[in-house]
Amino acid sequence: MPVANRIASALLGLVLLAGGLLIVVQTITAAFDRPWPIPEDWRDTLASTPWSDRAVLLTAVIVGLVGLVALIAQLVPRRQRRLPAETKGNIWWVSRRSVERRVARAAAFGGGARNPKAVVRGDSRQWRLRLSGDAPPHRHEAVERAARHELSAAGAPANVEVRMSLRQPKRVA
Amino acid sequence: MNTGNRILWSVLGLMLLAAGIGGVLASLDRLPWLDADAPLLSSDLVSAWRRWGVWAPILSTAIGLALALLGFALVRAQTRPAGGPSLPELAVSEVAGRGRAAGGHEPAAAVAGTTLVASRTLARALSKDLMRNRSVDSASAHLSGTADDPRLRLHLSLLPGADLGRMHEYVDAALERFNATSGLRSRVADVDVRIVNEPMSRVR
Repeated sequence: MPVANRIASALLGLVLLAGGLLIVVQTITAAFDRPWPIPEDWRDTLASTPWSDRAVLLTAVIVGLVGLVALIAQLVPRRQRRLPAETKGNIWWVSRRSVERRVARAAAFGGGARNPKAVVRGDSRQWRLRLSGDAPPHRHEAVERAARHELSAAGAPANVEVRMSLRQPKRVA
Repeated sequence: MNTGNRILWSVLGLMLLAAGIGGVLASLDRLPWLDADAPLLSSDLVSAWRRWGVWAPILSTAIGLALALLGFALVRAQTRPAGGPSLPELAVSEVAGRGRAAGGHEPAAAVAGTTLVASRTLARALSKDLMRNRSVDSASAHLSGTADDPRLRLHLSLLPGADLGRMHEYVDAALERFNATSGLRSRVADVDVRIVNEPMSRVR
């Protein structure tokens, strides 16, 4: 979303720039009775179109919907893009997605879990890990140990809250 | 920038929503002060424009210029690199004295000048120093701020298994070397770390 917002804001800036220059050019050319680039009949069109016109209603609906979508997109809570890792009193920012990928891989290769999925949230004081996947009960401890080790290497605080929901893998016939 | 953009689009979304609802209510004749059969551009507005005489086009031009400037500022803010503009060229030393013209026997005019180092060159040197660490897959540095208060923004891509604590020690040492070489007293403003997604081997 930050990238989308940045692109949208840059486009909005271009629209404002173009619109502002259009107003200036239109005003100056109209002052000399040579309206350009929009011909003078725009005024007659607006002066003869009532508010009850279907085109006006449709435009208002579209404008309202665009506003609603923009508002909802900004108000929906976003997942953290980076996790704060405190190292020697300084905060380093670690990509959340890369930590989740590494933890999932550690759970698979170091702990023996199948189809592991890791979700990490947190602030500089505490990280929370939700780990799901398939692993037999005797593997749970190894999975947790591998996940904790990976989190520690990624700069997680010491007291990581780990929640695991590991299912018993199905037997292959 | 992220927060600013979020506020901007929230306000804009609210304004568009309000304009849309207002337009729909006006079109459906639900606004007591506006007749739905009235034209979009009322004759009152046209006569007001004419009444203002020369001030109307001046006001219109001023609004147009303000919008254009606002748009330009918005585009510039979005295209500016994160962490602020780059540090300008640095004058690291001044050389003064008499030189000798190349190949000649006569002494040349006094040679005096300043050595300028582009901040990008310094940042690249730091990146290369950081990449000497075996745990670093790639590194990039960006210098911003002023010569008196330079700020560093680092992007590190670390290989799987890299320990952030040890990496911190290495970055501190690299920063010390960087400051000693450049003569700057730069401080790290932001460190962005990514761990490369490489397959893990069972046997090391």
